[in-house]
This record gives sequence, C-alpha cells and structure tokens, in this order.
Amino acid sequence: MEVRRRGGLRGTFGLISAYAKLNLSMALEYRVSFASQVIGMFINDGLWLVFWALYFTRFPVVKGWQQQDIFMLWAVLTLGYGVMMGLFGNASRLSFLILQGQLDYYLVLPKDALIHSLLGRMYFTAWGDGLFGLVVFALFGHPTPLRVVVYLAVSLLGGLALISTVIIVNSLTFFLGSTQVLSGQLYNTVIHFATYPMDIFQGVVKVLLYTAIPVFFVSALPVAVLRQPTWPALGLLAASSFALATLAYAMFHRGLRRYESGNLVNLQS
Amino acid sequence: MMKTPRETGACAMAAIILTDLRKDFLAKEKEPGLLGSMKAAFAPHYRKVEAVRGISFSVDQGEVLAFIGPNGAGKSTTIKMLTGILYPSGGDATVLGLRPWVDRQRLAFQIGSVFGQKSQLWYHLPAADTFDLLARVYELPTAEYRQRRDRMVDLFDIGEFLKTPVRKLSLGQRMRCEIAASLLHRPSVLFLDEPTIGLDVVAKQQIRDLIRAMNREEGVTVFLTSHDAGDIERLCKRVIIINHGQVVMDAGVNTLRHNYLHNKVIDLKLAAPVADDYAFPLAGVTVVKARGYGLKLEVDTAVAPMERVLGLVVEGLRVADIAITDPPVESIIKTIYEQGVPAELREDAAPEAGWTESATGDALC
Repeated sequence: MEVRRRGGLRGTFGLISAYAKLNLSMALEYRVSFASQVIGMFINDGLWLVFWALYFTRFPVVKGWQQQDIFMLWAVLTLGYGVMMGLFGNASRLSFLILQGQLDYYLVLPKDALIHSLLGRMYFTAWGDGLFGLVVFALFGHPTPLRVVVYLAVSLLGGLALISTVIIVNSLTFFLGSTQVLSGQLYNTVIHFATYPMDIFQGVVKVLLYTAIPVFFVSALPVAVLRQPTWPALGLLAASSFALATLAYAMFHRGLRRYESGNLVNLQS
Repeated sequence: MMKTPRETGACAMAAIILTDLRKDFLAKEKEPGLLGSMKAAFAPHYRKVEAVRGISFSVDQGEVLAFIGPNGAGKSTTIKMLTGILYPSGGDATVLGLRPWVDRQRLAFQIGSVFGQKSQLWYHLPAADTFDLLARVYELPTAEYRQRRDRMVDLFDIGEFLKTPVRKLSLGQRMRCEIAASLLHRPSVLFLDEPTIGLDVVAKQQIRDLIRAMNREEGVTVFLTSHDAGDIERLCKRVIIINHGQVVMDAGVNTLRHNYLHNKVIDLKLAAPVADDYAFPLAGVTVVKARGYGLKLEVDTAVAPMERVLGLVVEGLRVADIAITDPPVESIIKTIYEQGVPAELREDAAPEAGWTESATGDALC
C-alpha cells in the first residue's frame, strides 16, 4: 500500500484532529459527564472573576493592577491552559504513564512518541476554561482585529510555557523515579500563582516565579504584551516559550533511553 | 563458540537480525519491613539484573518463529527492544534493515505489534474508531484504508461487533480486533506477545488460523511469544527457547515435537475413588497425581500409543470425565532442563535441514 509521509505542521495538525475526534467521541459516550465538566469549569472560573470584581469595588488598584488587568490575566491564562491541557491532557499524567509502562502503546506508533503521548487524553474540563477565556476577552478585552491576534498569540505562547514546564517536571521521572507528587505540586503552584498579579510578590518568591516556577512566562509576560504590545516583548515571550518547549522535548526523548516499560495490564481509556 | 548471524551469513532475506543483544536493568533492593525501607531511603542498594544476556539469531522474511520461555526469561524485553520501546544495553539488532531504537518512527510504518496484556484499542469506543485513528496515524489514503479495513473485517469476521464499544467485547473478539488493527497498514513483520493469553479453545484456534492466513497470503513475518504449546505446534516451523536471558535452544518445531511434544496429559474425573498408590498397567504412562476421584496421567505416545492407553483407561476405570491436553511449554522447558538439551538441538548447532538453512541465511545469500 502506498503510504504518504506528512511530516511537519500539516501532519501534526492531522494527528491532533484525529485524536480530538476520538477523544470527543469518548467524551460523548458519557455526555452528561462531559457537559457538566465543561459547564462546571466555566462557572468555577466565573466565580473567581466575581470575587475579583467584588474586591476591586473596595480596592480599585493593587500594585498598579486594576480590574481590567485581572480580567485579562484570567482571559489569557484560561485560554492558554484550556487549549494546551484540553489537547495535551496527558502532559500532567506523563510521570504516571512512564512509571506504569504505558508509553509502550505510543512508542510503537509512527511519528513522535511525545506528541502521541500528549494527545492520548484530552481534558474536557479544560475546554470549559478555554471557552471562558474567549468569553471574558470578548466582553472585557475591547477586541479589535489587532488585539484579537495579540490575545490569541500571547495566550497560546503562555500555554506553551505552561505545558512545557509540566512535561519537564514529569520527564524527571525517567531520571529520578516517581515525580508524581513533585509534578502535581509544581503544577498546582504554577496555576495558583499565575492567577495573581506578579507585582504583589517580592523577594525570593519573585525570583522563584521567574526561574524554577516559570509563572512569569505563563501569565505575567503574556498579559504585559497584551497590555502594551511591542515586538521585543513578544519576541521574549516567544523565545522563552519555545526554549521551554525545546527543553521539554529534549528531556523526554533523552529520558526514553532510560524507559523501562512494565508488564501491567493496560487498556486505552 | 556461539555464531553471530553475520558470521553465519544472514543477509538480505533476514527480516530480523540480533547480534549479541543485551539488556540490563537496575533493580532496587531493600530488606523487608520499615527499618529496611528507612535504610534503603538513605543508602539505596541496586542490583544489576541481566534480562537479556547477549542473544544472537536471525529470522527470515515470511518465517513464523516461536520465541518461548518461562516467565522472566527475557521474551518481552527482547520484543520491546525489537519494536523500539526499549534501548538495549549492548549488542545490536536490525528489523527490516533498521535499528529499532534509532529508527523507531520509520520502522513503525513497517511493523505491527500486539501485546496480549496491553490493548491498543480505545476501551470506551468501538474498534472502528481506533481503526480510523490508526489510518490517520499511518497516513493511509482513504480509499485504500477502507478497502483494507473491509478485507480485515471479512477475514477476521469482526463486522458484527465493529461498532460495539470495546469494553463490551469478549476477550476473543477483542483480540481479533487487536490483530486486525495491527495489520491495517500492511506490516511486513508482526510481533505478537502472547496473543492467545486468556482465550478459550475456540478463540485460540480462530486467532491461530488468522495468523497463519496472514502469513500465507501476505508473507508477513511473525515473531510470536506464547506459553501455549498449541500456538507453537500449529503456527510455527521454528522455535527458539530462551531462559535467564539466553537462547538455550533453536530448533525446528518438528524436532521439538519429536523430542518433547510426544507427551500428552490425560486428566480424568472418576466415578469411583482411586488408590493413592495407583499404577497404570502400561509402560510409558506415568501417574502424575492420584487422589480421590481425580487421576492425572502423562503419556509418552512414542512408547504407549494413545489408542491403547485410552482402551486401558476405559476398561480399568469408571470414567466420569476426561480431558487430553498438551503439556504446557513450562513443562517442556522443565523437561529440557531435566534431560538437558541434546547436542543437535543446541542453539549453536548446525541448522535442521529445510527451514533453518534459510534461517541462517546460508541458502539465500
């Protein structure tokens, strides 16, 4: 049989589309659960904005941040998180997959094992986040064609920084053994700090948020670019996100050399 | 001195070549109990486990090879190295001319694999959906994919439940779908790791027939691991036995059958109790177990013809139920260890006439 070889972006998008169809079909097998997850996350995010709106009625400015800025922070973060975790939901389970020997299935498939592994599960609660981000930006972001483009770009780049960080920490499992707890804690820390204005943090915490816990690249820098788009700032964001992505890719593939598989009974679910 | 495939001249017609392939793991060890755990936390102790200890052989294109051995022998580790899942610790291997752990993505287009204990089918969806995904993964042109899928559906007789979620299929139905899925992209080599594990007799036979059909009709090279002597007898012409990570025997199945599979096991349920010291009145029949209403006999059919044995059983005992089975592979291996591997069957011995000429490449290069 003649086989086409589609590499690059086209092949990757084809693969994402095929996995998305399958994941959506699976979600629709349990449609009540699917709908409740998406709506539930939408409401959850909405309650946070209600909280912030109430807060800003008492304190209109926090270290230079106003309600509009916080709303944009949430719009950027939730869209980036929603797209990345919505599509690449297995990122936060990589440590588990490595320990349980569940990468076998992805390793015998053509194309990149990391892409297959990430696409293997999509989180539909995250779709609710992504939808929430779009709605918030549409309502409060003063959308113009240029701002829409910048919003989408910074959200996706911030999301790329987030997912890359998650992959890096999970890939440590190849070298250190189980890092499920560590990766879970780091994941929660990043998400937690990313929802607050960076300017409220000082000293050591601020240094950590720029380095070991790269919250700066996940939410603060994207919001800064959206607020005042400049090429250098956008370039810095793109460079840092792609640098993290490259490091994540390299760590995963380097780690595969140490992968030990396993003999547990596994099913694709 | 063991010969490497290259020394024996394996070349163009060999689909798989292993040369001194090795795989070590580090296993953490600790003394039992909390104290042991605390000691291990501060001063962990690792033991090197040699899962595969330098194995060398080749498999010809179109050959069906049984790669067998007891649990922990190194079968699955070898298969995982040959499919690119694991990196070896030493030695070399090529599958269709590609080094699996280096050229994994290219090789994946040309091989199929089924791991009996790991499903590639999406559990909550019908197998048809996984087939569609695999068509995209393997970049199969739509028209050709549909044609191929329809042929697989016919051949494997899975049309009736193709649209049923996998979680609702029987194990036999699922396994037929698994193998069909692994063949959608027309692989040249098929790795099957215990494909009949847990299946009933009918399902096992169906799977064997299908594997044989794919080998015959499409020339697919089959690399099979199994604990089931029936798989080996009915599918393979050549068997390699591995234990403790080393090849201990490489011989034709005819030779194995002649030497070891002439034993049959008869399980009897009796209508009257049997004495614990019961002795069967015919040479070549060993009483394995005699207790209460149960009696288990092992028959060396080369010495005691089965017809004669059954005649004596019916004459001398009140039989309520009877089952005749092959001895499990483990017992064959046990026999091999107890009796030793005959010189002519050792893995570095001259090949058996017929099939192994091509296996070593002498007749083909």
